Amino acid sequence: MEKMKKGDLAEFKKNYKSPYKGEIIISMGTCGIAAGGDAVYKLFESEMKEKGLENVKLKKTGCLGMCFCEPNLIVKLDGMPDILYGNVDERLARLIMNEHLTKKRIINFNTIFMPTDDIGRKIFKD
Amino acid sequence: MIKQHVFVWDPTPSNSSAVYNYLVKKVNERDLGESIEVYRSTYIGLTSGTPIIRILPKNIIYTKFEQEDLGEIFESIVSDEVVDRFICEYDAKLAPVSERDKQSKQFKIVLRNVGYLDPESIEEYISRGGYKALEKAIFEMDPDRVIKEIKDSGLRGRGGGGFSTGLKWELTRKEPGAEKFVICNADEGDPGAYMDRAVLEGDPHTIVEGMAIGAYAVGCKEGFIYVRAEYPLAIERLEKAISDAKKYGLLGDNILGSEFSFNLELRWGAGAFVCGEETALMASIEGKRGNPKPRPPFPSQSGLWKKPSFINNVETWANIPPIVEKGSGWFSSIGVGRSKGTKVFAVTGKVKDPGLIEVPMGTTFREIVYDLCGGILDNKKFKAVQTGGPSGGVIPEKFIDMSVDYETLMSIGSMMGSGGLIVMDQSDCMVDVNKFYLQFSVDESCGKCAPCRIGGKQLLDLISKITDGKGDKKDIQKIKNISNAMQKASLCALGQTTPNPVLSAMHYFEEEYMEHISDKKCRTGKCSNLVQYMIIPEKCIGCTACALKCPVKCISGEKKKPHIIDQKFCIKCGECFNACKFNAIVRG
Repeated sequence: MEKMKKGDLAEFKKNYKSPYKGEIIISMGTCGIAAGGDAVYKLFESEMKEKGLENVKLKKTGCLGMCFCEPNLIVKLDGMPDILYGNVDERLARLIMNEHLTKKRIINFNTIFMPTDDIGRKIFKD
Repeated sequence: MIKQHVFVWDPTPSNSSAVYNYLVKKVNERDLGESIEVYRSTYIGLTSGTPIIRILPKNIIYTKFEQEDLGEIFESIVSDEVVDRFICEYDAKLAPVSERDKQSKQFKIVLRNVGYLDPESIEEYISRGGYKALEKAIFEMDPDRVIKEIKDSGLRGRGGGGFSTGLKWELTRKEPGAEKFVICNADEGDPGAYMDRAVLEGDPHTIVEGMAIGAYAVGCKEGFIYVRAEYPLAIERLEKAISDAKKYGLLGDNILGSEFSFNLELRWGAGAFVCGEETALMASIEGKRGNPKPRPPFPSQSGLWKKPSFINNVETWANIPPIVEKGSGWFSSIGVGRSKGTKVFAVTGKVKDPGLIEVPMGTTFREIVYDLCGGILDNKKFKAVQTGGPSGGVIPEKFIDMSVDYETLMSIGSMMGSGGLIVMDQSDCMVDVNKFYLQFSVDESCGKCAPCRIGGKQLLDLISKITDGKGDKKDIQKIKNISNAMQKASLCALGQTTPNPVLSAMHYFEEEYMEHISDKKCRTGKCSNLVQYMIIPEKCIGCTACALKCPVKCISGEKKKPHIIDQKFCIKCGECFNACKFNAIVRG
């Protein structure tokens, strides 16, 4: 990796494009891992490969702050609202893959709504 | 037409939600399943006593509507219009900033990326505008300008003390000497507090960027992050962040091709609470025993290896990049009075939705406990909230509408602290809570100065005496005298603040304290030596519910005949008291 110079950051930001059509963001701070986030991550990792869902990015993140429903994850798909699912167990994880990711249907069960806007993006928007 | 997603949250169990059922019925009647879909939501980002509807993609939130208004709301969804009078808008005066999350009273500056960004990917951080503030500081601002910006923003230390961050930087910059150090205090140890861990694990690059800006402003070439070894994941992610930043030329020699060089290293703390105190922390970094030093000289004059040093808490550092990027005017428009910006709180204890929240300064405890965290567990009554952990104090119910900021909390005998909020309900005994915190402070005292080492132990003994039912009215005065001495004579903040929880509880819950001393009674049943459970034979119908629950099997009796508790073996857990449906068990 070449070291960045003045102006490179903006250039990098402009050219940074995600090749994916969506994201699954699993809360994996120490708290999320302790609540079982790690197992959910591994399940998604193996099952998504099997099901050919490779256009969706699987991503780890820190603690979203919603301790009461860990492990939790956010599903972001193009053209659909961002949905946060809480208390994700194996059954719900499979449902998310079969219904939400494949058929684009939000699961009407344990739907915890995305609690806040993604303010980080707004603070640093151009 | 774009499909509309309607989320319904109801305080009553959602499978019997009238709002949800009505909307689903309507959608089915009109055969609109293709364009409108209704969902039950178990959590919607805020709570209230009445149902909430949230409609996407327009992101409209309706609250405070009645059952008969639903027809109107439904028609507006169908025709893609908005009914203004039910729109939920939170008090804009606290944060007249466009970025504020209007839907949930929260306002995220410190936690802006936590939970959205992959903490192990520097690419993603840069793509969200990361390191832009560092670039701006180095190429567009001189160090004095950066310090002025931080000073004008009104940012104050988030570790608890509340000292002006800009002023601290300025004092260190003015000191002579070419070698200065910048330190990040990530030795978070308050019971029930985990704000710093969330930031370190969720957004480590913010800390790296903030510290690089601080180093540029003050003129340091080297910095340390003192992180406790109990946070292995934070250490792992910080190490990755530092090495990635070095690879990209954002840390190390000639940052971004400029003259400015800065190196950052991690130091692990071995788990002593006192090492969160700045002078003890510096001693620990030097490899010495983590003992505090008397001040003056202050760390800005003679800190790490006797060089001018400045130290800020994790949360303070995370505030730096947005301030530099957006300017001091933006930051100081958030908050109230002399407390600017936001504060992260880790809310734990007896609330329905515990968690990590960030609110503008000036938010009230009622908003935090009831609107953001769902209220008290099992709908019990709110009793008090403990702020500032073992150095803070309790805030009783009469102050629940008080604004949360440095000055207000000080004025009622508590302190902001690092941000742990422990909510207590009527089943918590204040004396017992005090005993817990004192035990913590006594265990963690480093033992260097007598007021803290001896005073803490004496306080603990006196409180234990009271909870054992051997308290005397004279003890109250003794506690006050010892506390006074500790506050005045202790070497560092640990000893000076150890008596705080006791003093504030004695002040606001005097009645409860006196009950323990004069009546030898504990109203909550938490102090087991003051409690006795007894069965009233006339009321007992012999249902055996209590006997089945008793963990030590000390309740005996024939079926359908009055039972009896064998006091010799009773451990006073209170299980039988909760199990009895006939009020036949009394606590005395």
